[in-house]
Amino acid sequence: MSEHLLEIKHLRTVFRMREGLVRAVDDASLHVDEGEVIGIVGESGSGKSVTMMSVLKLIAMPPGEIVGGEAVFQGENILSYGTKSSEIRRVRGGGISMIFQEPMTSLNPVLTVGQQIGESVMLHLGYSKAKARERAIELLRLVGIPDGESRINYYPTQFSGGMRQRIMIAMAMASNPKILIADEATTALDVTTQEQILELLREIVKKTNTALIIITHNLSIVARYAQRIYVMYAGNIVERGTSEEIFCETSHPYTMGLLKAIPRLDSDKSRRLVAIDGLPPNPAKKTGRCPFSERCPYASDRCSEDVMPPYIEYSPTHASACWFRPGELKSTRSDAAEGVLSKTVSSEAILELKNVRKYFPVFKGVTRRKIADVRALDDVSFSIYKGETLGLVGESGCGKTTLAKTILRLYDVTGGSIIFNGRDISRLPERRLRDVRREVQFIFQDPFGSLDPRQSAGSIVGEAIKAHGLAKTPEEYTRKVDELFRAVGLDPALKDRVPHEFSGGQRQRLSIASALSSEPSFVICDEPISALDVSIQAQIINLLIDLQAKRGLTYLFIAHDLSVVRHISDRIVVMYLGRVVEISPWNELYERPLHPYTQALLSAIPIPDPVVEKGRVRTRIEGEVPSLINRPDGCVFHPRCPYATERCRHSAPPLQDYGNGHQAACHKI
Amino acid sequence: MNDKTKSFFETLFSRKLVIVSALVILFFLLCAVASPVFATHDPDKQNLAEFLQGASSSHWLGTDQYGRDVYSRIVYGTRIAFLVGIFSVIMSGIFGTVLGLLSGYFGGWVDNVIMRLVEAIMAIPPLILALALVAILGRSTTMLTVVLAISNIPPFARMMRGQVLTVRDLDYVSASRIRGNRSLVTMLKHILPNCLSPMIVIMTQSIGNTILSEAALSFLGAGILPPTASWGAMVNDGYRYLTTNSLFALAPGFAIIVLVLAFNIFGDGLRDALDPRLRGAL
Amino acid sequence: MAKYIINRLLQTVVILLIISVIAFSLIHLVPGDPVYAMLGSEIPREYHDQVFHTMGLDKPLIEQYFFWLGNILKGDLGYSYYFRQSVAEVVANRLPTTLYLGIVSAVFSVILGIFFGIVTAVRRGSKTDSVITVLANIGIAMPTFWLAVILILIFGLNLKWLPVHGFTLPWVNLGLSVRQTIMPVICMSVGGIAIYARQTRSSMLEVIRQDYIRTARSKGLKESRIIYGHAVKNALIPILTLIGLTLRNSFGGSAIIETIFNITGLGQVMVMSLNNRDYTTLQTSLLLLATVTCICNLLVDIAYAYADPRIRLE
Repeated sequence: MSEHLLEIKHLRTVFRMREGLVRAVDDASLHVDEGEVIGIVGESGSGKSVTMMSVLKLIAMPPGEIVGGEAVFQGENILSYGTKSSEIRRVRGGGISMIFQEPMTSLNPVLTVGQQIGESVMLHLGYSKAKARERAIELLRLVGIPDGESRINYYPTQFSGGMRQRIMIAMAMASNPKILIADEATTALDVTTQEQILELLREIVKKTNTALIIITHNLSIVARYAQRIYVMYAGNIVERGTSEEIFCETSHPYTMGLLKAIPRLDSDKSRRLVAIDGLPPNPAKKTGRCPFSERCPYASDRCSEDVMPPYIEYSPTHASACWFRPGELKSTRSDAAEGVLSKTVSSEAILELKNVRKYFPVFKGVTRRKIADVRALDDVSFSIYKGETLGLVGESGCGKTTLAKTILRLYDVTGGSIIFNGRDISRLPERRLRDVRREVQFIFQDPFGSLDPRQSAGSIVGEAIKAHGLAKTPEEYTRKVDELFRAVGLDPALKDRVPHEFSGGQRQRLSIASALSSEPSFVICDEPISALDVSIQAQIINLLIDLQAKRGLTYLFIAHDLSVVRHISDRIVVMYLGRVVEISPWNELYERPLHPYTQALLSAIPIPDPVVEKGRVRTRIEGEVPSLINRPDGCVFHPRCPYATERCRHSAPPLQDYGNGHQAACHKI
Repeated sequence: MNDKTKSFFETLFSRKLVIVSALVILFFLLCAVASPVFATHDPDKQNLAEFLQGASSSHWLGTDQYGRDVYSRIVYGTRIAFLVGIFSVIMSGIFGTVLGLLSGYFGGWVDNVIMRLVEAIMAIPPLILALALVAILGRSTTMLTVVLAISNIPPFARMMRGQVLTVRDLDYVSASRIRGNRSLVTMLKHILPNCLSPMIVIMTQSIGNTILSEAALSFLGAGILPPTASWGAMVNDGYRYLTTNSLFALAPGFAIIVLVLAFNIFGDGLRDALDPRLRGAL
Repeated sequence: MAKYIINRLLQTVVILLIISVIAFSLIHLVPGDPVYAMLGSEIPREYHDQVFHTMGLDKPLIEQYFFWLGNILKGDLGYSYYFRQSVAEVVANRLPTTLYLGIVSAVFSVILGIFFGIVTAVRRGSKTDSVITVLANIGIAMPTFWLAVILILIFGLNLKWLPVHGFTLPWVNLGLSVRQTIMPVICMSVGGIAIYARQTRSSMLEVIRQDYIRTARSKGLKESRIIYGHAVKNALIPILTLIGLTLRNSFGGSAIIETIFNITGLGQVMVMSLNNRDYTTLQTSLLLLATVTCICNLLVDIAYAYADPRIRLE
């Protein structure tokens, strides 16, 4: 009889792929006790999900195969059960439940939520249909969905993303499991919704004494919610410890690297992010030695030995798989601590938005009669000054991408003016936009969708040079393309490759090079790092900061992650449902947020430091961002605002100045 | 050969069946090009003294009602199958691609007009449409090719339009506009090439079907004019004499099955290699 | 949902109008004088002029179209000089036969095809899967008329089990009707069965990869429950759209099957009128079959919208 609720010992899972044997999980051991909350952190491909999926035998077999180890759950090695055996099925959903990342696709679209929840109840608790229905209604109430009696007959499509994730939780909890696994369960959600779901999970597991395993790439989340943490890298658990041990007595170079690579809400902004060099290893080419050694700044001869370093135990809970203790680590790379390059911000505006409105018409009926407008942008006014970085944050539906596309004139404006370098470009016809197109450029979020898969890297980067006739001779063209490659840290020899031969980070570099090729003065970056792995994000942020200083660029930096925006921006604009709710210099925003929405947004973002987290006072808001079609009257935020009064329901507050260039739109300040 | 091309051929020929089907197609193509080499008799030469004979060493598959050698006529029939099958598919591929591209890229009334027309034509059973078109255009090999091409245009245009609609909203198309390209450049350089592989797949998969339609029309007497050898017409002639020489009707049908099967399997292989996402599509 | 149905209804009307224009143009696109083309150039001049006038060919084209369309809507489908009776009479006797054969074979295609599709998807990689998949490929590649010839040779001529021609509606003489229908229905449904089997199989395999199947599996459901409770319904929704296509092809295929088995249906009429240049009949049959197909498509689309809550609840 094992003393732990679930103990995984030396688990090894491989996938037999065409390119070779992929060792997805390589000798991983972990355990969880009753009622405990643990976190498994790692980047994509680190094996964090595969570990738990292997335990439940949910990986695709073949090509997957569990080649070693055991998983003891309540005294039984569940790895010995057959994939389709009734024993493993009793564990799945019965003893150990799982919720997944994509709420939009994880529920069956053609069955009602009642049927889907009830199914689990009937299966594992042996309830009758009527009793299962009652239990389903009760579960919906438990996860904060009111009016369960009627909602139980709804289909998943009738719920928002956050609601669907609540339904997933209800379903997972239906059979009173001992362990609940949340596999990136909040990654696809808005920041404020993410917080609500995580809080809900924490409450539920506490109430029911269920153990919770949070699998995530987000270090900050585990800092806030997990008691113990396992850090995974390339299939190995490289460090384990309590939350405090991981964050305050960090021992493994990879964990240290991660912590230095992510911007924090409370950090000193002059600190340059320290990027982890290189790329995560190709799991098909994994050798026996420490998988991080190629990227480790402290790597020495010992690290190239073809064996995995043994765990050094610092405490009964804390251990790290490194040959060295933190004090013995000596950096072998000249870590030339480049300071942040200085840049100059002028007081002259490069772009002014005046009451910009963008409405999308809603048509109804067969006659396509227009019945309403979706106000994606409503009276948006602000300026961007030459040389600065203006951060733009907000959750889904706030209009940040619409605003970018409107400035780029991919959309026609409905009203207001966009003044670029003193000229109103909001109504220029396409043929007169050419010089604006040269000056204003765009970096896309998704490095996989924004590069034409059939063009070579060189021609993607050189496209704008050709379109604007910026090179007189073929030699000049080649020289310019090569320069651009070097400017973004790519080898010009890679010019003939096609995009899919590059990694995500490299593709984002290509995208940046392509945006810079027409020598623009103003670049809009639309979530340029959110599709990248944590260890790559810092590389791109640093690159963007350097390029700005070298080329005198002005950025409009769009993101949903306030800590990143705060790190890179001089001023920050916060938007909600198409309206600007607050504009603030970066340093004031965290210390003195004025708008209740900004306050909620800030407190929803965890800080990767459990000590700081425990001391934080947090503002929490209810509900989710409503759909633009049901946009509230008055102040758009009032249905979720804890301070809303009658006045907020009827009149929309204008932006008011509170000194220092700090503006907010709220009646209550 | 770069990595992409290499992996394309690796996937394409990873299944034995695809290799076999490619070889079968090549063999039939050889028969079409070098028919006189493979044939044992002049396919059109009548010999009424030897009519409707069973298989023998001089006539491997027997003779037809005019005493012509069935085997040699099947060999020459490959020509019509390839000619009509491939040319009509190429023709409809070109028209379908252009119409779909216009419809998808411009949208609005252009799209409305083209799509309603496409749907109207698609509501008419293809064989009936072909019969009606034969009535108008008359009977000849060229016209038959045109007729079969017309009935293939609507599904091709629809496929292309769907592709364009997907690709049109992708970031790299917006990127092309932002980088300063004119819309014609965007359309031809970024949208068109990225829509082509599913078109190539659906075209390959349609060749088999077109050969079947040609045979069906010829069987109904609305296809190839006699005395040119066509497999469909041979079955039609042959089934009146089932009891005397059943090979006369059965053998050309067998040839149709083998060639169509080869094209279909090759098309599936091509689909898997070029665009695995299409696996569920029609 | 109501909005969706009205929308589709209007679209169908537009499509039918376009088809009517196509059908109407048929007679005018035939090279030469339509009356001579139909009746032969050796008919007397007066007869020609009389027919020319009766058919309204001396009026302006637009007027002719509306005159023709108006007549059709009133039930006057014109006169067939080949069959020597009104087209309405020609069609009335034959349309039920074609519809009957088309629908019966469509039902067989759908039921058997989906059954084989599910079996092959559930047992993918097994012997059953390989055998059925190979048969389905052959089924698609096989010309209908050739299959008919083989069936006639075996069951009609050699074994003499089944009659090789003729058709009787089931309510007239059930036993004879069944015996006469077996071979035509087999010929008309083989291709359909093959297509449904292939499409169902790939649709099932697609659905099995979806996230919600992983969810179902993580709940500890039995494999059979996952397949029949979660996967099949999702997989069959796209298959529904194929039904319109199948009916369309069945109606088209009737031209061949009815000719071979000597069944007096609309398909046979069309082949006969083509061979005898009876364009009035050809034009009307074309319009009729296309209309039936359009209505079937409409019904299928409504069923589709009803089956998929994502559309129904919009």
